[in-house]
Amino acid sequence: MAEAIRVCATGTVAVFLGMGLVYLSIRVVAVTVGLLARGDKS
Amino acid sequence: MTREVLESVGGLLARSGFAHVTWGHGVMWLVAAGLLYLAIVRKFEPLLLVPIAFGVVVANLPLAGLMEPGAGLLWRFYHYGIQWEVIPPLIFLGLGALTDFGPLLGQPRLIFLGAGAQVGVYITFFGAYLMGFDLPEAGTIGIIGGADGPTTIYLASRMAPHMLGTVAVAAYSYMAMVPLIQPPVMRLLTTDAERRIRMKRTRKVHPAEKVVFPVLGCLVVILLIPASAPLMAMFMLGNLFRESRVVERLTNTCQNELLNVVTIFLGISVGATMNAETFLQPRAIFVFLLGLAAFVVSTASGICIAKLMNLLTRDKINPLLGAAGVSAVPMAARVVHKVGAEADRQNYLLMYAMGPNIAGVLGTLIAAGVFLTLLG
Repeated sequence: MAEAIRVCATGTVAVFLGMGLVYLSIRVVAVTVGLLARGDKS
Repeated sequence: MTREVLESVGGLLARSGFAHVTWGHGVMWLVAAGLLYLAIVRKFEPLLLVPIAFGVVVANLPLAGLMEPGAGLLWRFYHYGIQWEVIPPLIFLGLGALTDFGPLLGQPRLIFLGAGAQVGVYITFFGAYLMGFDLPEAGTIGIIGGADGPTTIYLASRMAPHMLGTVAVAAYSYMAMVPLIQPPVMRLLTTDAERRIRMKRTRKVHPAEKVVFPVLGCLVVILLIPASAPLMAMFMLGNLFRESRVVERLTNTCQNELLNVVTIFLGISVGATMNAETFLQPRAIFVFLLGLAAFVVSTASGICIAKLMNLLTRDKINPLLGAAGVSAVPMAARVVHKVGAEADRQNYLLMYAMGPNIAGVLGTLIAAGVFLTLLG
């Protein structure tokens, strides 16, 4: 039982952590590309 | 002479498959007939269910030996394709080449709806464990809730190969039944006012973002969960082919010929694992029931996460989008749009729903990777 609860808790945290990292990657890429595009225009 | 010929014919018949047919074979042929009906008449996931059903038929022909280890044709497909973990990653290569991450990149916060739906995977995992399945089996059942066929097959082949056929058929059958399973849950958990919420316009995504994302996304996910590498790497490679726009031939091959070829071998190999001894057991019924529960709970958890996000953020999210967090691309997104349109005909949710829908694929990959890391 304890093992099953550990897997559930770890898995849920890992999924949100993983998706959080992907979210941050998307934001970093968007900001970087935006800044580069602005630099090109100026 | 006549007597000798009759004896010879009698001997031939005694050594034929007819003499060795059991009731179990008959039941499996009926199961295959049911799958063919769903695929051909009802158009339920025909690309997968037709080869799966045919695999069931021929694998349950006595004396044919198609699944005889080391010798049978279908055993070779299964062994080198699935047990060697070749086919599911190749399917993901094709899926990556078909996927447009644009809706997700345009509204990145929707990625958490894809994560939210995976909570259902773990709740079902826990429920399966309480019902007497061991941990790897429970993980294999739980991942059905991710509504991602190749990931389910990949995980089952690694953690509970004896359940491969059952979970694959459950996953694909329920994926086809998403339009029937999800709407009641969606209506139950949302108010009419919530279903009318209109989403903020998606920003325009620069093509460079689409090129960088598969590389960066692949990097962070595999660094966090290395066990997700085979599927994630192929998924993102296929997407990089698509978004780079310099390897059109490779993109076309991944999207069409390669995906079609591996789908044939995946389907027939999975169907061939469904023999009477492993399939006709009370536990198979529990797998189907738990698979259905997994879909329902994952849909509900996605919606609940959307509602939770609405409590924490200013820009409201239509909570129906949470239901698209189960993968089942693009069926779940279409269902979200349809249920949303029932409340407000002018509310076009389809493109917004594609974001969490694709995020659901990533979420299921991570969830499967976690199972492999902790239980594999």
